[in-house]
Amino acid sequence: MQAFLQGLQLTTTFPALFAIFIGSIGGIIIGALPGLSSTLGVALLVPFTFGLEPATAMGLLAGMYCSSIYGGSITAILINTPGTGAAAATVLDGYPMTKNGQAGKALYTAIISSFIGGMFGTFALLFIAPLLSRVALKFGPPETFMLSVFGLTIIASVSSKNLTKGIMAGLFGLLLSTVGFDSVTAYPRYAFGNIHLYEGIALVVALVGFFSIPEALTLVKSKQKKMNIDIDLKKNSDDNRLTGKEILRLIPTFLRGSVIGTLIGIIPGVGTPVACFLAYNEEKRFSKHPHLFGTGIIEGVAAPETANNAVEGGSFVPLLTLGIPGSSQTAVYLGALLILGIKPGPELFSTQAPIAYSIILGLFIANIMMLFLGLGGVRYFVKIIKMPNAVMIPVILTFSIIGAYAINASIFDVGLMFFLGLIGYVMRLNSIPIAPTVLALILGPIGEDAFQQTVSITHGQVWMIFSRPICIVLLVITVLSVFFSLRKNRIVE
Amino acid sequence: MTFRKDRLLSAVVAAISILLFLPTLKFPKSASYYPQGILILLVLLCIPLWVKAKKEETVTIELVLKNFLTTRNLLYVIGSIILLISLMDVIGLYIELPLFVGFIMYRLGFRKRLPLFAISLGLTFLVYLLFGVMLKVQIPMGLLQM
Repeated sequence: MQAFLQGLQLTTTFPALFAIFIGSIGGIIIGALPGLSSTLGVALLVPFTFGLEPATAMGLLAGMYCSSIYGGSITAILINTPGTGAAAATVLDGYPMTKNGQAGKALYTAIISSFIGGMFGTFALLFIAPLLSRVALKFGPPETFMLSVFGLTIIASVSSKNLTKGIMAGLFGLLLSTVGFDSVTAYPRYAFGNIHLYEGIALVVALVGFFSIPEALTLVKSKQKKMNIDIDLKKNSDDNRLTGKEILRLIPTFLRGSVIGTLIGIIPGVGTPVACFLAYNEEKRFSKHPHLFGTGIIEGVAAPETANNAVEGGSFVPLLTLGIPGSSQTAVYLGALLILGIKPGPELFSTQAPIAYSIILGLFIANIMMLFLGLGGVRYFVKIIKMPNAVMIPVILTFSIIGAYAINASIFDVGLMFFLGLIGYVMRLNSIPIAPTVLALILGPIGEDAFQQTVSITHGQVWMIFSRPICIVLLVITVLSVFFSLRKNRIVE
Repeated sequence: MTFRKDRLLSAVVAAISILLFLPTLKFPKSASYYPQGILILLVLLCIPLWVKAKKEETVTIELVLKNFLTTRNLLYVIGSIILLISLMDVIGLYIELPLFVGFIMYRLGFRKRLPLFAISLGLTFLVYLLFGVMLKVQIPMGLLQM
């Protein structure tokens, strides 16, 4: 208790609170800009932590981490371009809500969901971190492989009306994920001698290409001068806000998304995009109106947004308790902690307990700041869609081009982004959904690497993975998921 | 010649899959199984797509090209992007960007000159501030490097 109070004292000093505030504002901007990831944002702030007190430094990074995850939803909702991979599932219902004149409601849903998910994950970190760390230890390559197989079944869920085209899109995503060095033989697959492709296709390049370029080209082709959407937040319309009744209706969604996000967060190497698609899929499965998903409903925004922020707390569990980063963002955190002379791991809570608690409390305060900034910012974010198309299109293209370039300072990435964008545009013209491609691109490398490691561990006797309890559970869930998705698709047809 | 839209799509996907299968024959065995499996599945999925193609949705190759080529603005935007990417290293992004933004806005019907210049230059300045100064991204300078 004393350590907790000391941690609270460290985190509530003016410099620490100011650092969290600055990190939060920067996070929203970084998250919203296509091409810039939350990992990049956290990494960019690390040099600024030199010379700061540990609690202040961690607060700065916490502000950036929490808010950048939320920030990606702003552009996902308003212009169909996820700012980060964590918002890839938010576009599915977020952008349709904007087209239905409910941009304000979508943004409020996103910020409230992000806050609740973030707080849940952080509470889980505070109270049950040791228990969760035991679960993290049980997850090896076989479990990760089965989880990615389960994740791929979500393709059926996000394939909207045409399952065949959805599966083809997913296979295309898996094919894209094979580009680059094979993890076992190190052979550069589909690189065609181009060194830029040896590392594969960066997820952010693909996200920006598949979402923003088709959107920009579609707007060019449309004869509309601007989006015919009347958004006036001063009007007391239910389209502009989230009502109390809707918040109550979303409670089960918040709970499901939070649990999924926290559990995915504790598994190293899986990541936020997987959590948000899983949460979306489960929300659709539990819904009484699954056919409404994809048309613009608040559950379709709340589920992924809750999950992606719940991942934050979860990803700190292996970092603080085992010294193993649970995500790319916490890998950067690990670097920052080591620079500050703090060694995360089993002894952190005994030897440097106030610091450990200050990290957790920093996350709490960062989530609260994110909430206030997000709620206050909705009226300004919404103005983006009032721009005439003649202005919006070059703005989208500019940030897409710069965003793709900024990842590796590579013009090749920009060309690749545009090429994928043209493919995405052709897919859109042929009613082929893009979400399965993105999902498969995320899960493909995770699944393939895990499978290769599984083959190595089991000396080729892969069927032995079904002697592991978690694998059996995941297999059952996968089979049930496929069965119910196919059944629901048949009913809808 | 008239095609059912999905049949044309399945033929194109099958052809591309077969083309992409050829390089996999040179991959080491363990590296080739996974992409080969994906490509085989893709070709197999072309069959139900072909069979279920709807009669009402028919296209001709001329119609497909016409749809793509008649929207001049679309061609101008795509052409501008290709030009921007190709000349990024030579001319430099800070010179290209205001020209690109201004051109696209003009082509899309934005005719107010002063706001057009202001937005083109303002956006370029914002990119410089955000990416060049704050994030320290090495933006291609091109001619400005001299």
